[in-house]
Amino acid sequence: MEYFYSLITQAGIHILLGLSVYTVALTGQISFGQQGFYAIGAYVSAIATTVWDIALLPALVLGMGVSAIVGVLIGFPALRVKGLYLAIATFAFGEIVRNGLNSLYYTREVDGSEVGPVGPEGFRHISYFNNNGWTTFDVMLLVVSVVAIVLVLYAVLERSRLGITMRAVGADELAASNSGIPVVWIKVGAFAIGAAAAGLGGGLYAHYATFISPLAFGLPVAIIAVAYVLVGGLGSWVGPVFGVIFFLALTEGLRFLGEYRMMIYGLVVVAAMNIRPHGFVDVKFLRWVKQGIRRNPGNERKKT
Amino acid sequence: MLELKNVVKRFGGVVAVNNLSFEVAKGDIVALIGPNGSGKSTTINLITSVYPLTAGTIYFQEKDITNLATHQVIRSGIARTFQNIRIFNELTVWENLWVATKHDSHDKNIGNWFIAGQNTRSWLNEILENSNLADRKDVLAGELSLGEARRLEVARGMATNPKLLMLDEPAAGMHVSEISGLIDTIRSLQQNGATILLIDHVLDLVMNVAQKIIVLNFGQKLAEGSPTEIQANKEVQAAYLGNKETQ
Repeated sequence: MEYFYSLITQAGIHILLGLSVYTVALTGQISFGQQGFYAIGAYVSAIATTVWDIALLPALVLGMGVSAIVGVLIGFPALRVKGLYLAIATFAFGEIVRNGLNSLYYTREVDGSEVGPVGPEGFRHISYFNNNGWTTFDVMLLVVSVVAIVLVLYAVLERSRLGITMRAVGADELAASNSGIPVVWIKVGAFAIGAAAAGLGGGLYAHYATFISPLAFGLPVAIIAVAYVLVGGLGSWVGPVFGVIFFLALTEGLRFLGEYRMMIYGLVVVAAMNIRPHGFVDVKFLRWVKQGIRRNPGNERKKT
Repeated sequence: MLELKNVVKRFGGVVAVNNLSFEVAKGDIVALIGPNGSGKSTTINLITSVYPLTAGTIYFQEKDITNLATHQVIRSGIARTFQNIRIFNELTVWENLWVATKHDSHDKNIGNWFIAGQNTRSWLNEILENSNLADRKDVLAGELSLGEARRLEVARGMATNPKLLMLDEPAAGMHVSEISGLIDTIRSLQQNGATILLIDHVLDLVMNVAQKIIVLNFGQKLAEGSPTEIQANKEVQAAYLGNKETQ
């Protein structure tokens, strides 16, 4: 059972990471730097609970807030470039954060042991859950509740004027600015919201893992986060959620293949991208589902 | 209402617009015509700040709008369409209009940042009625026919509540039979108080609706006057309408 609690917790954390890439992608940008915000959220909130002795929720909010502010500061210069150049610029940001963490030493003695980040050796003893007697189930419940709240907020955002404006900017920047939309602000806003989501995910990750190090926030995290969105689709928040579940099910479900696992894993991802090049949950798919529900009001389950 | 003063635009060594000055008076339909590459679309892009000016000034309602950002120019009361239709294909027809309204132009409460208030709804529904798109309001814009897409682009411009509407080749790709409908649309926009700057190749359309015509050639103003004056102008005939003596 512990294994399943742990899987669900991981899925929840990665959904936040996927949503952060998704938010930026809505405005037509692909970022390979969201792991930088994930790292900032992880370190800030872990420092807050261990070194500063702050309670978990304010610590998570702090991590989220710092990530969002850095998102705004990075957003203005980074979003002047587009496409591949933005991908490189955002990845560079992620690497700057990672290298910065390699030289971050900030410790305090608590009950006879040193706590806090120790450069490349990482940050041990993030034992908030353990100290407060949380079980794996409690942790899962916390992560599931946080993710549920975030998903409700995303569902509201997507139907709101702001969410639709973000899609308009993603579809055609020139038409958007010529329709009176402040494109730069919308893009920076999306970047900040995405950074906040990643920061929150990072905070949860740090406390779940109890040990973090700069190594955990490198290129593989950037790639998997983008893959969640590309495979899941950009039609709605369901896309990245689907992407995370797809990849997790694949990783766990193929364990019986032993050493062939990663090979089959790669093949399935390639096949998925061939079958649904715009991701599983794209705008057209959603329209099809909605029209199906409208046509057969008594037959919803079958159609969806 | 709109005034361009000695506007110059250079792209590298190419002078796309050269020392262009003209005025559009309130309530008028003014047409900008000229051969391909004469700088018509560039002029519109300069007015909406898509490109920065190399030199010159643009005034709108006596205010200098030369250095405003594109969205600020639009919010000051200028709307435009594009030569190649640019609508938001993955949004519905209604959403296309909604994003173009200013968030507090019709409903003042903060909720209008997120959902469309009653006044915004009725304002947009009226535009949809007038554009003959009311029954297509929940359709994805990418699924519209060419004619509907053109109407949607104009409707999106109207949703910004403009004082000046700039139409960049609205008759492009239209069948001759559809042009009379377009003429009616443009006239009714004018009757509803809009000032219009029209760019087009279709002379039938231009001669029919415009009060004033400005002819561009190689980025410079060749002539300016009423449709009859332009038709009689020898230089214009040679450059654009076709010189009968040489044919």
